[in-house]
Amino acid sequence: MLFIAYVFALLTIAFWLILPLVWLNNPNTVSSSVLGPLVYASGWFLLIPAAFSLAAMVHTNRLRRALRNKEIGALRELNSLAWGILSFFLANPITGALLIIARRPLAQVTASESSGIAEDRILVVDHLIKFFPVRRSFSQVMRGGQTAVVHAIDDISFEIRRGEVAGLAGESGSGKTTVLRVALGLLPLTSGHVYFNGKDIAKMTKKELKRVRTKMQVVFQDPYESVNPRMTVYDIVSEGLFVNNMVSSRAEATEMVEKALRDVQLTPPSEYLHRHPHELSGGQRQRVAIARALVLGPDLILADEPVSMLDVSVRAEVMNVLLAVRQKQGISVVMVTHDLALSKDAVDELAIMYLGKIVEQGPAQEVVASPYHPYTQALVAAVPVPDPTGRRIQILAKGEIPTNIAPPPACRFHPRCPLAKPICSQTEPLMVEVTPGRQVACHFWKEANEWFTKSFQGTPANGG
Amino acid sequence: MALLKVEDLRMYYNTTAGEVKAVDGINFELNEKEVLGIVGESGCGKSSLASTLIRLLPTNARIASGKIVLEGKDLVTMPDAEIRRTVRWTKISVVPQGAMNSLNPVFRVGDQIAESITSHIGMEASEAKARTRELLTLVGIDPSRARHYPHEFSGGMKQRAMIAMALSLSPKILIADEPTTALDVIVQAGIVELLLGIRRDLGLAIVLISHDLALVAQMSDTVAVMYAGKIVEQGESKRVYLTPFHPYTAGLRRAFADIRKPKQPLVSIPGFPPDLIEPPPGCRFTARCPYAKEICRAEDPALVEAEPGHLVACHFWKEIRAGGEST
Repeated sequence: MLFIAYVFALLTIAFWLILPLVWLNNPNTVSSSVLGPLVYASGWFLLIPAAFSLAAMVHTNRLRRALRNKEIGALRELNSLAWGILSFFLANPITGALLIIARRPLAQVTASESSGIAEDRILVVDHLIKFFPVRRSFSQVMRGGQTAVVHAIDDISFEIRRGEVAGLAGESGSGKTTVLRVALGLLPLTSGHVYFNGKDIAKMTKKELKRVRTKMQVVFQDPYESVNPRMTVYDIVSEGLFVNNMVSSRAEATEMVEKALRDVQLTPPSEYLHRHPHELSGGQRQRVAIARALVLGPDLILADEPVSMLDVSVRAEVMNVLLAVRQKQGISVVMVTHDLALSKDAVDELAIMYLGKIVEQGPAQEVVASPYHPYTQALVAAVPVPDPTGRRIQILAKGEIPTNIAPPPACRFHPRCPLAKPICSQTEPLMVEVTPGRQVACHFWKEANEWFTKSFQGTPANGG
Repeated sequence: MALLKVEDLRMYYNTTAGEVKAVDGINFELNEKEVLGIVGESGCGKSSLASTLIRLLPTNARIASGKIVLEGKDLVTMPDAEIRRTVRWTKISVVPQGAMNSLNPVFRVGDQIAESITSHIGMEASEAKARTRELLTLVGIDPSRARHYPHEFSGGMKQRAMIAMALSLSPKILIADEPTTALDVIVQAGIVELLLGIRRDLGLAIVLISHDLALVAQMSDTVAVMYAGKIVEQGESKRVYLTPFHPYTAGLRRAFADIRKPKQPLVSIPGFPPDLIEPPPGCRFTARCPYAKEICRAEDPALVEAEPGHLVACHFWKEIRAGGEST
């Protein structure tokens, strides 16, 4: 169908190109008035775009079908091509109107039903999928076939309550940092929904999104790279206030900056306002980054490994500041981390991610003390304890993390799992609530948990 | 008899701001098959110590004083050519910090390992190739992957390749500087297993440098805690962890989350390390020490033996007895 549409469009162009040549050879068939050339000229703006709009409509139909059938692999390609064509003649009023009519069904596909989100859920991620197309070389494009896709996030769902500190733990390739980026709206999602304060961020206008971003702030991993070395602390923290027109004078800004600095224990604030980042230690810099996030009065702070680049003796300082704002101001925190021991002490709810999926979720202390999923168990077993007489680290998962371009079928962990059975490579385990508050995606979570608590030394369950 | 004996080693960097006393009076001994852990945070001088031990210093650095005695010979006074021929890589080798990122991206991994062999001793290319395959097997990499480029290796594999490179001439001592930083926790466990296996099978002595107290606890027999260029506590791992005598060691231990324990409040050590250009005259930990008194500001405590084999540099170690399992 697409092929026919393009052939038609090309034939129309060819026809319209040849037409003047025919006229020139037969001058008396067309009047020399201005009407003739006018009609001809308008043909370029009507006929050709109309022909292309046919192609575009076929594209959007394909798009709709792909979305419905979740043929997500080809999605990005189709999408960009369709929009390229559509924009070509949105400049033309007639065909533009045709397209708006054609576009509305497209909008319906991505629109969702009214979000019945509970009031106390600040962030709800619902069946989120985010794929990145893998760049293809020229020869690969010529050979055709489907574009390979990085399955960065493959159908995850979780909810963050107000005032909660949630942790997203996982190793590299788990997709945890991508989750933060998609939640912030920095990356478009492939499918699924992200609701912030009950509203779907994919449906927000640019203006709404800008306003929402003041309520959703980020703290980055590297305190040496996330603060501008040429700005003073005052500049760094107040920048957001000015960009978002939240203050009308320097005096007002200074007041808010000082309050934020006090909240992060950089006191007296006046001592820090005029310092540059190189005059601060790593821990102080990270606290400035937190102040920068706090000053805008957010409801949610997304922190990407906020302390992993700091010295251990300084980590608690920064973590405690982050946790204190939760206490005082009811701000929720979502923290991405790879440090399970820290998660256990700092976080309320913990979700463990592996290759784009959440494998286990629950209260942090329980998940770490008595893990249900074999991958969580492998993570816990690999964490060294600061005690030479304590348990030795064990490697419970063989091999390395596979690529997330072609992840293992069904349960992603089955090639490395010590408890894998045939069903694990055939049927994907769904995330189920196995005990109140604890969810896990594993066929044999019960056996895994029993085996772990019995035979693995050093969990609080058997006396460490 | 000790394999390596370091006596009052001092190494300073000459910078435009002044002379940075990065390593300021270090003493320790390393025996055969021993794993010595050097624990400290950023800026304490542990990486500088590593490069001093192998005499691989930048042009603005100098060894101000001290001795590094290896098999009866002092490395500090040895001419560079001799060190290159007989010591570096053949007796002591280093896996530097972030080593996995220093693999040349345009050369095959196998060739880079073979190069480290042929540039030190005159070995036939084919022999070097065979040795490379041997080394890759030793570190748990399929030898056929020698022809791959670094970007085809994962982070853990790159680190293993670097360890293979360090072992290529069968040294007696391996210095590993932050061997597991930036690696996933399960991959980290693999590297730990590898290093311990190598120690067991090849009879290597390992100097493990890390800021990760837990990692050092897992691997080392003896540990030395460094702070601001000096060793503040050293001794058998078990003793130092069970009963730390120095407030910094105790504070560091408390700051480390223990995955076995139920939820604990997070504790840190307030303040930050002192300036190493003009270090304070007394104990360098004074500004952050909860037990500091006047004498701490004035006099730098020497390392004394608190119990057999367990040294500490603190005026009040007896009074503090900071230790035990309580946080």
